[in-house]
Amino acid sequence: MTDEQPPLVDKSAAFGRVGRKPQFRRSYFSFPYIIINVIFVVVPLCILLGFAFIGPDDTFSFDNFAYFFSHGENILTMLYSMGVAALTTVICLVVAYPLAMCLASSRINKSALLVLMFILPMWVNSLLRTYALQNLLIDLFGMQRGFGAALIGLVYDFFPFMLLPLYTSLANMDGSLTEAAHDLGAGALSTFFRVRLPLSLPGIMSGVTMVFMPTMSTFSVTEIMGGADTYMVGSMINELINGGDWGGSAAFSFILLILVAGTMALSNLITKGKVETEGLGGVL
Amino acid sequence: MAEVNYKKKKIIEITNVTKTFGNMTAVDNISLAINRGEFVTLLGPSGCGKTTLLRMIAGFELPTSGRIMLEGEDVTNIPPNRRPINTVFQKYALFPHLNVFNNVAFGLKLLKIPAGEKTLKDGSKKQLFRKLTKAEIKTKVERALSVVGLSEYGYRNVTTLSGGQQQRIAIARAIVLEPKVLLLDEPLGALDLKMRKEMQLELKRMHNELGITFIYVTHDQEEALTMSDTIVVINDGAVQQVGTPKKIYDEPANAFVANFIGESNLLPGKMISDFRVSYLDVTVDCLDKGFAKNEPVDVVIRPEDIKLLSVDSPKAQMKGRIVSSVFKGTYYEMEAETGGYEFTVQNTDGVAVGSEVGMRVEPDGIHIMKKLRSVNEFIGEADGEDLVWMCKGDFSLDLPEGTEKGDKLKVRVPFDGVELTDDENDGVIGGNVTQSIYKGTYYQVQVYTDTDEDFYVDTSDEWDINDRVGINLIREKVTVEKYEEEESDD
Repeated sequence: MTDEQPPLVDKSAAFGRVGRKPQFRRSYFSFPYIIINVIFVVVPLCILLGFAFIGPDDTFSFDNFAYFFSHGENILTMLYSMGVAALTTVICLVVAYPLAMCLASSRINKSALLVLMFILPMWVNSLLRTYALQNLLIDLFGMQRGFGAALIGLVYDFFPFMLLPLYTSLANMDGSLTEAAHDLGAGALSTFFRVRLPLSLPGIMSGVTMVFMPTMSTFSVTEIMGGADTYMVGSMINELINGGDWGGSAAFSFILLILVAGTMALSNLITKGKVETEGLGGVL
Repeated sequence: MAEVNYKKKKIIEITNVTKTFGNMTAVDNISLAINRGEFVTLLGPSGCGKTTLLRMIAGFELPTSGRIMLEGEDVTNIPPNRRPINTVFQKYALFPHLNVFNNVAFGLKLLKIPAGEKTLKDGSKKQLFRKLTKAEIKTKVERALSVVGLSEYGYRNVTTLSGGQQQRIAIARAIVLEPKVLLLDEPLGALDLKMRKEMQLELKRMHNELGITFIYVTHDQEEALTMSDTIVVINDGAVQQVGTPKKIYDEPANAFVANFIGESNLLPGKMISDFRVSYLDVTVDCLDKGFAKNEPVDVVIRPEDIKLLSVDSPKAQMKGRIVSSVFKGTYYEMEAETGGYEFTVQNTDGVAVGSEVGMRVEPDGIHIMKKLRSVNEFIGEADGEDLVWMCKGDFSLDLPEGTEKGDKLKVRVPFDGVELTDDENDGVIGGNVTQSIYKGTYYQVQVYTDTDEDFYVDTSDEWDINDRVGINLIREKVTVEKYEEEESDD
């Protein structure tokens, strides 16, 4: 038997493709999205990257990056932004989790309307919401602009993005699992820590992602609510753009992008590893 | 002494337990005792309340009223985590984030066992508890896994296992805690037929080996007959019959049980005298007595109890014609038509379709059941010259002489005195069909009205359960009497 021997069944014949006009394939449906993606994501990112390497004299250079890393205050602002984003994320998580549990419990929440009430703010433009909050907190209640007000604004703004994935993962959880835990002797606390929490980890992860990433680069909320007290990387880039420094702002944006991507990859890795060790480890 | 024996024998006692969800009654005043070490099956159609009853024993649901005792202790309101009862769930409910070993070890890790006593300063003793050590947990888990035959699977991910394997893990997870009672909620429902048969034998073996009381819920009568020591037949939230599989099969207590368990021929009959019953146009010997003379009864004849003879055999009680014959592997299932009734007959030898045959049933093959109710009785109120207001509807009926508007009346409607209509609006009142039992030559349909009344209707048509229908009364067949208050001692 040689390698050249023809296959017993001609697959192309079997599938009836011989001599027939090419048919419309399902994958064609994805073409518009691919095109949109290329135009609005890939190309802009390339342009961004290109700008980042154009120096003040319109030639290729690493000046923009060098400027960022040689000025301590830039790095501090970046770290500060990460800190604020992390704090916002943690507050959102801590507030949203119990609420999501209540909403997911059919015993407490008898209609989906309640969920809608918490999601409703998402339907209103973020800037409008922020100005409304400014009016309420600062003008009406006399709160000082600054870190505290900015934090409230951030939490308020991004809260639904934390609530929704948490609610979805808790509501879709198989109720018989918590019953099984009860049945095997777990009280309310054990059931929570041993079953509910680990099983809602995917929901927590996507909530964290959806809050942390946009908070990190936001500037409208911190500008309106915090002012000079909360100078974040978003404001920094905004200033560079306003000052016409396209190269600098592109470089900063690029660094921000890498940082956020890195943080997310890292946290994904940690949670994934944790779940897996839970799954593979054991008492031994 | 008798007291002690009594307590030892009964492990679970359920007394007058009722559970309602909103205005639906899932379990209706059930009382039941379960003996230690038995394999008890709660059997009934879906929605009959058997799972609700099981969930109340497990502690997931609290009874609306009634009491559940475990070994003489009231556990009605004790949460599931503090009952020495474990459950095998219908869809296994294995923890997807834990491997096989940790699923089985879940309960053990939470377990606290007595660890001696400590004498306190004031001289009183305090019971100490400790958790199991890792080595102890490992030993127990390995033993449980070997009982279910999955010793090598400890470090597998539960989501990669087949349905049958997952079910075994779920069983191991429950038995590892050595519960006093193991509850199984349709555990084999999701398995294919071959696997199910295998697991039935496995479960029976485990029950024998472990000596734990098993309470098993299923709607599969064959499964119940194969595995149980005792079967509890449940329908409409109430216990229909409790007994050994043989007793339930041979002597069904009512038409529902006869229809639900096994194949059966169910015919209307009449007790001529003790040990004599007539059905269709034959009068034969039977083993039942104690009925009133000429009392209408239901007669059950199992398909395998009908003997086929040659058409002119002197032993034949009935003559019939075979209208269909299907080979079922080990026997033939045939339909024999006689006098407007089609008997289902099972026989190891097939008879050609179209042949005339004689049929005979021995006395021990005839089972007599009391008719539960032979007439519908309602209390109504005269609402005009020939109108009776009852069940929130004005029925036009013949009223007794001298009835005045507002008088209380007793209305007796025989089962064939009711007419059902497809369109609810064509009837005087409407209702839901809750049961439809084929009685051989007609259907007995139970219609539940919006006023909580049941109409029993004999009809030649089949009605779908849960359909809305209209109810009319046939004037000539209904009797109306004046209702006397003192009559109510009936």
